[in-house]
Amino acid sequence: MKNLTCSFGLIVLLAAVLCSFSLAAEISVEDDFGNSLVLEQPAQRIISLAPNITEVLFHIGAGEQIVGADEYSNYPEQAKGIVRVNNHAAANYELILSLQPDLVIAWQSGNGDKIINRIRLLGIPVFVVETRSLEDIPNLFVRFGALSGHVENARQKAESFSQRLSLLRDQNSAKPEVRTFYQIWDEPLITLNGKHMVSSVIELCGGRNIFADAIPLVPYVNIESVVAADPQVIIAGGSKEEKPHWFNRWRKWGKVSAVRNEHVYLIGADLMQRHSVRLLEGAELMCDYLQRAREK
Amino acid sequence: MRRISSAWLLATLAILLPVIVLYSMTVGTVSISMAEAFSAAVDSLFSDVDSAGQTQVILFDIRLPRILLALLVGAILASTGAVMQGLFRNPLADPSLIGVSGGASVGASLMIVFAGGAIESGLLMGLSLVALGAFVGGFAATILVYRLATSGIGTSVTTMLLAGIAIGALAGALNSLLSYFADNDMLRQISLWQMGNLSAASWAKVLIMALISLILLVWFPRDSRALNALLLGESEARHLGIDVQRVKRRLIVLTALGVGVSVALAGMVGFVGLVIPHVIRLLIGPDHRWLIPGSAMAGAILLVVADSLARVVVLPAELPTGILTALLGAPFFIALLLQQRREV
Repeated sequence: MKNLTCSFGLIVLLAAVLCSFSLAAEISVEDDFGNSLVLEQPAQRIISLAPNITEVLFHIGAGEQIVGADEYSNYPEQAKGIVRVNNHAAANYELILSLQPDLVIAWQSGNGDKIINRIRLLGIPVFVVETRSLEDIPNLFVRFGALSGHVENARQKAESFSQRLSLLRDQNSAKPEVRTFYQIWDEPLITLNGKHMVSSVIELCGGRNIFADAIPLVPYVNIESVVAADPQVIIAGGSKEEKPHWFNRWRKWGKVSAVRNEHVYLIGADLMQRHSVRLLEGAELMCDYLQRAREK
Repeated sequence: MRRISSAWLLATLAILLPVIVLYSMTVGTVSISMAEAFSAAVDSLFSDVDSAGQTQVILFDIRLPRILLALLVGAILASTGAVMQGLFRNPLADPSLIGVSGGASVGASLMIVFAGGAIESGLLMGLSLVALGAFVGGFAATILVYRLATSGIGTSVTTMLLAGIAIGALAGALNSLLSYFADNDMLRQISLWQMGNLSAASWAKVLIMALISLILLVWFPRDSRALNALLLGESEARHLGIDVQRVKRRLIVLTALGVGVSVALAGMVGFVGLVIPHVIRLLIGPDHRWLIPGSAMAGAILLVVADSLARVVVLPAELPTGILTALLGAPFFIALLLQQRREV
């Protein structure tokens, strides 16, 4: 499966590179739902409907071309100044139209069909992404590069992402397994199951998500299940940079190994839950914390 | 429908309740048998806290407070439901009707949005600022509804129902407005709070809830006869020598207190307050002397059972308790209604 995604990524990469070299000025890139998007020239006025998309665009050097973004695009610093066109609930179609974009990039599970189809009806080309695995991320760079005319830069960034990723995997996957609890909320306790990308980051670092088998993608669990699974590390994913207000509540559960050995850590949700380049920073932190737990 | 004797039903419920509580002590992620639970209980009596094993921690720090909180919240919601239906002589009345739930959710949202930073430091006897906000909001809304409905000639039941609906709508709008301006973190906090959950039970919460339950369950029976007289109509009750206005005020304040605290501590748990009193009334008739304690015990049983199932049906995850109260209670209620129709 991994090989398959890798080779798929390679094919797309090759296709993108070939496209950019062919002298025909037409650009054709396939989105995550198999729709080919054809542009006559690289998009110069891009609207990003999700923070991960904004981050990737800036990363490959296309940040200047973003004319509108969602309310949560807060990274890098320049992204905060972009006109806001949508939030979790709705999009401002009049504003989107008035910005005269030549490309809208949307995130399927974040924006949903309601918003995406509406923008398509307005006659604006929409490129829809749905990143499901870590290996999909460099491929995202390459495709965005083709769409925005930053082919070479995107290719380099993709390559260095893949290298850092495989380095982490090589360093950690053979190490002893660490039982890990990834917490996104405390009352009630909420975590993520094995299908979520956070869980693949845990596995990448040689950890095991203690709720990987739970049925819902975002399961509610109770403290008893956590005590019973006895995680060696607890990773709290607050949506802000600082520690969430519930961080210290773990202290009363001294029976849990992670609490007893003081392996309760914070990784900002922006680093962990966004499918973008900073996920690597999150992964590096995760691997470091899991390693500390192995040592004690 | 042939009614069963009140004493018989109450005795059955009184026996059933402790049995169910004991049984639900053995229900959870970790399987602990009745015998193990018992020996763990004996052990913990004779050893100090620090040496407590995992079984003890699970039984007495996690399960027992949660079960007791479910029991008390269920009892309060169902008995206040019975009282409200009697007071308003309206089968659709439930505690949320007097505005208490709506007010509580606005109070909680206000605290989440405007006192976000202080939430951590604002722990008062295990009660968070959010819970405090919920309680104050619920109480304030009830008083507003009551005032709106009260004039020189007393409190109009119809006006109170309408005022309750109006305040409910206003609360809904305020809530949406606050959610709209909330950031990611607050939004999640607001929506999760509104779903209600018993998993955050602690001994401090149980203690507060027990205190309130004690007050309510001592006071309510004193007004049972007044509520029975009110079934005839307000003026009839007045002619029977009952100070209707005073009874109303007292019962509304007690309900706001009980529901306000339970909403503050366990969030919104629907269905129990509306349907349990109906079920008991169908079984033993409308005499409030039996109806109130019967509803309290049945509500406690329903919530304890629903919450125990919530803990185990999707292991290792759990379901929100509110889904199960309706899922368990509604079919039972429908069956009773069908039976009643057949016998008429």
